[in-house]
Amino acid sequence: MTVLEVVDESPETLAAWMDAQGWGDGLPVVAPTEARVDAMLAAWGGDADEVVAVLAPRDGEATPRAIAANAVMAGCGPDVLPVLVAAVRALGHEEVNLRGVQATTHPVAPLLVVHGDAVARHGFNPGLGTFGPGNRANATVGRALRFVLLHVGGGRPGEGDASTQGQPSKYTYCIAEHAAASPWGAYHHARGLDAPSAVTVHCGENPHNFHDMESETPEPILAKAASAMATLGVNNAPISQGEWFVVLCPEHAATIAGRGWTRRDVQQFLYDTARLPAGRLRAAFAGRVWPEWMEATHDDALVPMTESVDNISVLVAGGAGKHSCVVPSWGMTRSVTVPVDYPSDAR
Amino acid sequence: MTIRLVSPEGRVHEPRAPLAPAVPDLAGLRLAVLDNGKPHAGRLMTEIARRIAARTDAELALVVAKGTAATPAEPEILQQLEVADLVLTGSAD
Repeated sequence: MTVLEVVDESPETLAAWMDAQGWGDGLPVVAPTEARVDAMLAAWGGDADEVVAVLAPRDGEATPRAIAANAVMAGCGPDVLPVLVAAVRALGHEEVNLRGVQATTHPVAPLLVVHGDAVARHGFNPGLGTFGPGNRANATVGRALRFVLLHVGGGRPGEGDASTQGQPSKYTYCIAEHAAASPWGAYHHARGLDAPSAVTVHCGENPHNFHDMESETPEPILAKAASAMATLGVNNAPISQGEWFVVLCPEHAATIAGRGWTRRDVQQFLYDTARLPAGRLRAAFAGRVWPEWMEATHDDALVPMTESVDNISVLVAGGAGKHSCVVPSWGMTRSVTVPVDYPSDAR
Repeated sequence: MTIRLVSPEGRVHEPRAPLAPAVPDLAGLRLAVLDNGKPHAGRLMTEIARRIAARTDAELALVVAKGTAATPAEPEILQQLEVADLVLTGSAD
């Protein structure tokens, strides 16, 4: 464990210290004192030095201790380390392709979705403004995950991160699923994970909003989602394995489910409807990563914005109102859902 | 009095493989180009390799492309590159 020394905890001292190290996101941080990090590790209750994941491109070892230091800096409360450890564990899965996610010129950032009991336990906001500011858990856990990618993973702009423009969600990108408002149950259960709490990471773009204030049937609402998906401006267009996360607000979900539609029906409708002519896509992208059956289509054929209906994930989050969103993928990455473990509960 | 802070970086994992030593003289060596899939990367790097070969008496022996820029080269591509003494790659957009 590397320990550094500063003369005091003033914002000016910490800002100078961060600059000297090349750390942080440019915003003020909380000093990761040994006492604060130890308090977080005590609340965690597990092995502080277990290597949870090795994070590219720096190949840094993400241990709970290192994650806790980043969490303290990001302003997290001492209780949320289990969620962050799970998120880092998820990002370490090979199919995430973290080296690509970190290093690409694309603006990709991991969207972290918190599911189950962890939402209430840590005070995450699954409701109004879940993607936005105003809640400590959402804001700081997302920021802490970015800090882990910057510091442990080495994804600093211009070094390990070649993102041409970046995107705002590289600061923080964490929401909570509103399972109580979901007509289809919790998302992690739909993925076959029978755990009280879980997290999902989906490496993609900022959310793309769509609104529908008037429709009383599923099709017009989801046609707008499909319209937001059927664009040349996403990596899903040339990379057909790319996933989509469709985050429906509770009112849209209620209208859709009220007509008897299942989660699978939503996925199928979007797969069938979010399409572009193959020739238009070919003209736009000489470099494509498509399966043979898509390449074999004639130019007038409408091809889907992802090669499988299973690549469309549907969950519910947000509050009152009729705004939902779709979150495109970086492309060469897969989402991962893992349980949140609480070693302290087992003691 | 000073305050002790925990580094947020963590330890660097053991390297997966050592870096190859620098080559002092290219004369007589076989060059290869690994097109990483970025637009025009193959064209640019092949031209660079040709010029290096002309200047140094090296030989441009092979140009191969991996599947996509976003993932590592496939094992069969790496196997093809074993005939080369030096590989050029890494051009971005």
